Amino acid sequence: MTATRWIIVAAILAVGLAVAWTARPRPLTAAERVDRISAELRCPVCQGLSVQDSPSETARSMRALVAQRVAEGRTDDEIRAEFVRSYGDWILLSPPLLSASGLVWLAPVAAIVLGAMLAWSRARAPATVPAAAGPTDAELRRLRELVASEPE
Amino acid sequence: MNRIARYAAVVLVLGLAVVLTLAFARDPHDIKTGTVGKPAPGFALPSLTDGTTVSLDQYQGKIVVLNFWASWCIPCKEENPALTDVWERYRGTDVVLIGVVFQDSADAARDYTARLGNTWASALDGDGRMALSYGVFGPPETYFIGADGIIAGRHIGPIDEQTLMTGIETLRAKSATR
Amino acid sequence: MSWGDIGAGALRAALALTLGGLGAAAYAAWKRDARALASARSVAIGTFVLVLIADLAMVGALVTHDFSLVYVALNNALETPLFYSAISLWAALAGSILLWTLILAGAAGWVALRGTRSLPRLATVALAVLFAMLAFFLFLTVTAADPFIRIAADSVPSNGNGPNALLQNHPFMALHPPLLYLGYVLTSVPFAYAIAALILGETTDRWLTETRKAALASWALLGVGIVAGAWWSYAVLGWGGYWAWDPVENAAIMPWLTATAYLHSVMVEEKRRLLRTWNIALVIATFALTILGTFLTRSGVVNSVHSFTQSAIGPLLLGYFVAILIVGVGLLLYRMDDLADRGSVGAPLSREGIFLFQNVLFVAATLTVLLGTLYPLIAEAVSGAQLSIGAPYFDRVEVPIGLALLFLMGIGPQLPWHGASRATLERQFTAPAIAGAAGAAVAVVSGMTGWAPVLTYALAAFVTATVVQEFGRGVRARRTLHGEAAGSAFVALFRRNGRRYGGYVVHLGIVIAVVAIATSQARTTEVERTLAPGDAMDVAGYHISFAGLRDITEPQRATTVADLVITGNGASAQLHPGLVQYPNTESAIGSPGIAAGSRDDLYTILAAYDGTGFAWATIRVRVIPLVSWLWAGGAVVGFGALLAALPPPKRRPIAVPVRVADAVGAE
Repeated sequence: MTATRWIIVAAILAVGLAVAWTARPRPLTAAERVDRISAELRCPVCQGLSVQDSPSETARSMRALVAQRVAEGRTDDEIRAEFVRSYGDWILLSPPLLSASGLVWLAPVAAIVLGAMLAWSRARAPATVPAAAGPTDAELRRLRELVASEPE
Repeated sequence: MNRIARYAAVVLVLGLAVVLTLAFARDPHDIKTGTVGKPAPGFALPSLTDGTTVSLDQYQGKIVVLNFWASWCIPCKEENPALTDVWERYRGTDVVLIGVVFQDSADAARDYTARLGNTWASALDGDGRMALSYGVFGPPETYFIGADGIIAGRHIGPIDEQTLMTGIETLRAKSATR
Repeated sequence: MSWGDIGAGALRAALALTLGGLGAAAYAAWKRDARALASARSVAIGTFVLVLIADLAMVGALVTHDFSLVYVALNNALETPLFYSAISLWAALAGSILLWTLILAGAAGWVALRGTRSLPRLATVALAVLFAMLAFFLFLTVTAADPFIRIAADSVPSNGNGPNALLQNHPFMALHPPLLYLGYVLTSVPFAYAIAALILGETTDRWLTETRKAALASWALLGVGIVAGAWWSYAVLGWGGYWAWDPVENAAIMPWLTATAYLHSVMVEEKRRLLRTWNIALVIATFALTILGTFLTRSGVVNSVHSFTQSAIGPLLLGYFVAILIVGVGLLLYRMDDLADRGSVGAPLSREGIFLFQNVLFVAATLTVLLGTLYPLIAEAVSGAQLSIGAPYFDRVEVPIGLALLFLMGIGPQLPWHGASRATLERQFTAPAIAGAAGAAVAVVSGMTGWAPVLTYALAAFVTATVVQEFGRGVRARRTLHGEAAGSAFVALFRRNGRRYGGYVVHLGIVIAVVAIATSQARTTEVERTLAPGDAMDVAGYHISFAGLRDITEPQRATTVADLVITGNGASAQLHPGLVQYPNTESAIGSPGIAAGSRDDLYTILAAYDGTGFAWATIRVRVIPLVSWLWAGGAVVGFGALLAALPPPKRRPIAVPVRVADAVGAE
């Protein structure tokens, strides 16, 4: 391999390592869990804002309830379920993957995979400029002259 | 290839048109709560007027009308005469009306009840937990709880006497047949 | 004569005139009749003038508080300051349709005067299409969205209701809706030309070159309008964020995404005569999505901060939207075989290959936003279940797509058309790859958590390096070829090839914005405390002391503000977050106090306070790093678009044999 190729491979590896390092699983603090759960809950009195983002009083009491439940040692699922019990699935800002609404997660992936396959097949097909339409050698020569003579 | 593209385009256009037309059938303000049809969450809250505790348990076997309100809520004032009338009519029967103060200071709430002359019990939901357990969006909101302790219905926004009566009488008829 | 008479009269005359113009333009195109074309031109100018008069009449009614008009009585009050009175033209449904109509009439006038001279037949059909759209909007202004409905003379109120509280709370309201409307409406120019080309069976791509500026302008205005809207919501809505994936925000971003895809894929058509069907499809989709956005905002089918109140306009807009789709898609399917590509891209690792993948990602991003926005409606219609789709969903899907696009943004411009050899590629990507690794290192060292911000930093550095490398190469080439100094060579790059180098500036603006978004999302610190006067709190190096609360009374509103004194981090400022009570609104709205800086913004919110004795206040403080860079990035994008629109210098025409030009895709 050439030196430049080594450098590129090393750089990509370095980025990969950095990403893997920051994505490594680590225990969350209580505050991080509260943030994460309340970012998934919809504030009932707002227009589509999450409980974490909303400054409203309702959102504040919901955050306080989440914080208390986290301190009591409840799991994320239990805490979410408590809100779903009162407000229905409406309170969750993203539908669970394993449900009828899993479709909304599947659709973007399907669109990208299908689209990429289509694009790939079109990109791979040989560039079929019909032979007859191609320039003759004389035309190409003339074209090169023109391009060379054109002031930049 | 072209054939697929054609079908896909037609399906997408038709789908969008159907979805958007259906969207008109829906009222964006009609939000269902999760608690209707389920057992009413229990509560024990301080009374607004005296030091006693208002709890759901003490009204077991009765029909409970829970009304969430606040002194800063303008539509609450609008529905107050209807509540007063219904309260007077069912006073001393198997129907109780309980107010729940929503996101309001005790002083302002006491002022409000005194000014309007409300005599039914109101409970202070200081940290808002009780409203959260019922799935309340904002005052005024009214819940009908049957003698069996199940939430039978909910009304969002100012309620009128007719709606209150219907809610109560349906529940009374139901408990009478049992 | 009252303002109402003038406005209503002008609109009705404009509608009649437009219908005449539609006939004239259609006849002119059919019979190639010069006199009919001349009258269509005069109609376009006349309509524009009439709509302008109607708009001015509305502004006149607003600033003179003419409460005999329902619109003025509902959206204005005697206390409303002059500035907000004037911009209340777009504070509610009917007025905003009036502004929309004005811009559309302007676009029709431009096509009538300029377009019909360079491409007479095509532009005449396009003009007819624009007249048809204009007729629809004028029809709205005299029926479902009539802004000049009068109140009976004996019941004219002495004072009005005043504008929506959120709309009169910040001067940005003057900027963001008109920019967006300009962007929205200008997409109708490429659309009209595309429809004209389809109707006439035009197989050349002259209409592309003709509408390049309009497409670029609408894209840039939409983009800048979206950023201005984000800035407005940041400064007004008081939650410390700028984007909530609100249905109406989604409606604005969708046409911008497809327009971005179009601006790139159109180059493949210009260079290689490929993707013709696809490009027309993107033009139709972009325009249709702007109408979908209008429908979603104005019909009340979705609940949103930006929604106008429900009105009879919904079904009409829906019909218009469906009609556009049927006409556009129907014509496209009808002409599809004539437009089929003769040839294919050839190499995945070429400029055009990357554009193809970039298009796939942009369209997937658009479809995701569309699905996420409409899915709650679908679910409720199908199963009656109510559910929500919000930021967590969109973030999870759109962030990876965005990062993939960022990657392609670094790759694409470096690849030549038709592909490149491996050795060239390696040489070109060595420095950017090193920069990418350095970017990742910076992110890790500065303590970023989560994979997305780290990858964003790496890719941002990668793209920046490719852009710098491109500029360096261009400048070096000019210096050796023309012996220019570095500075003038740099300027000459834009003058000679503004489209390419302006495009790079746009890319840099996007990089700035993306870094700002990643950093502000990942590293915001938030603290909420209840303080008594004299107390203080410390957040991320800032010392915030709470001096006390006070009331401010203005004619149009009453405000309670908390006085905060900020020190630390080299800052010395006084902030006054408050809660504003407008007489027409039940609950007070928050008005944040913001100390903006290049390193971070200190964003303070008065969350709650003791209303009886001013004894305490709950202050929410957010320290949001680099958020100002987002607005700067938006400005750079706009500036880059301006550079890209610079007219290319006049060239000595060279006679290239037609067959050669065709084969090499000469510019």
